[in-house]
Amino acid sequence: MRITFTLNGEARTLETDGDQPLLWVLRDELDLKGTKFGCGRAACGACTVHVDGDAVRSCSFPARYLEGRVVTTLEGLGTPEAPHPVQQAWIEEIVPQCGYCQPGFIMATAALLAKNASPTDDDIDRNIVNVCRCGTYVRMRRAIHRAAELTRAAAPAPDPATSAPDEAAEAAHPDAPEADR
Amino acid sequence: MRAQPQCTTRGSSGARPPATRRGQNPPVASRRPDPTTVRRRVGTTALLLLAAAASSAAQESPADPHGAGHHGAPEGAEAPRELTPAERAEAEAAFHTMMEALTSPRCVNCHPNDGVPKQTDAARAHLFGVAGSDDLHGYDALRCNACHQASNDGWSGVPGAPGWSLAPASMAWEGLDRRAIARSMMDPAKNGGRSADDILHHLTEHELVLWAWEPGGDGEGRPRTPPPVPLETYRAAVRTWIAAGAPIPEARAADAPGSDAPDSPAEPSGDAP
Repeated sequence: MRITFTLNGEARTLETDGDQPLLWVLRDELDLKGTKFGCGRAACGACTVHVDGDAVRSCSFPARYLEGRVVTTLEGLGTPEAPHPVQQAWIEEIVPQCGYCQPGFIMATAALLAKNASPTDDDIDRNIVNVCRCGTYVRMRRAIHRAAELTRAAAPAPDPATSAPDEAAEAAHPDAPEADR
Repeated sequence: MRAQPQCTTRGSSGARPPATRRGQNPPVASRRPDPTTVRRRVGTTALLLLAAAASSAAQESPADPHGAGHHGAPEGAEAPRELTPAERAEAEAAFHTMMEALTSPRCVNCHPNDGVPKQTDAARAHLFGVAGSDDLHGYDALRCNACHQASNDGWSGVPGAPGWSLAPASMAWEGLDRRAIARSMMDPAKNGGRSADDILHHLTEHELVLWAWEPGGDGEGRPRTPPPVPLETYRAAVRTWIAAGAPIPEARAADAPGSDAPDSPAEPSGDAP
């Protein structure tokens, strides 16, 4: 079947079997090897990519559902010159050991931080359930918190004209208690 | 993120390895998903007529909150009309046929009482510590559709249907007996404000409900167990039961979930004094 979708910011059209998992579309048909095959059963998370911003296990995502969707893979997350905050944190914390599962963790973490830039350890436990056979979980947790810091730091400063005007006004109000000023 | 992966045994037991890598897959015909996306539908007109008949009949008959012969109507459902003994027997048989299906793991697994979806016929907790979250569709980076798409996936063995999600907590069926499930199902305060007609449509037409009869196979290619009642038999039973006013028959010891207790302790019988 003929499928048109957006991949890492570029429109792509291809002919493929609609049952073909997105994982193999990416790796074998589009030669994007950053997305890894792990278990093939949506259990380990090594194949995680983003579809319309959501983390998706590409081994269980049939190509027929790609039509009109927006897909981001590890290759589209950042660049060596301008890494995504998650990639930057992964480098800073020297997370990988063998490294095979890391793209999936990075993509899952990026999806989490896009919706929750201040995840707690519980949030991380609930959301990041990928499997790392090297057991780099401790370093990954540190890196996720670091990536959250970088994400918050990179976020544009709130515009006082459009954000929380009441709060700003109250803080500036001359009648506000001194402790609040 | 958990330091103890919960799903590390797959493919490591000496059984055949995951058949998902290219070149290692079984023949296309055997790995293709079951044709779950196209389902036969009965005529909506017929359903509406049946529901209308039930509604009309209920309006024409004096309300009997407890029903004749201890047969009670679920809260919020149309009050049942006076049924003849034959009609009552037919409605009771339909109720139990319907419940044979609705109490199967394919249905109850996604109507948990603890927010945790269940898996397999053993109804064990979903892998990865998955729970429903506030919107019943998972967490920020672990939505249900991270793995479950709109149809069963023949490659990974991951089941799927449109709108894959948990039932709301108000519709928890896990641990309830048939009568309590019926009361919950027909109670607008618990069922999302659905009318009897809405419930008829939900039970007989909704794609996520009908998935139970085409549940596909698991990652090892083993078919999942569908409900023990054929789909058309189930649909006919639902129509019959709702057309009769959705009467809930007296408790039977055999209907209790996983035991022979006469009724669910979590949901006392509405017929109890």
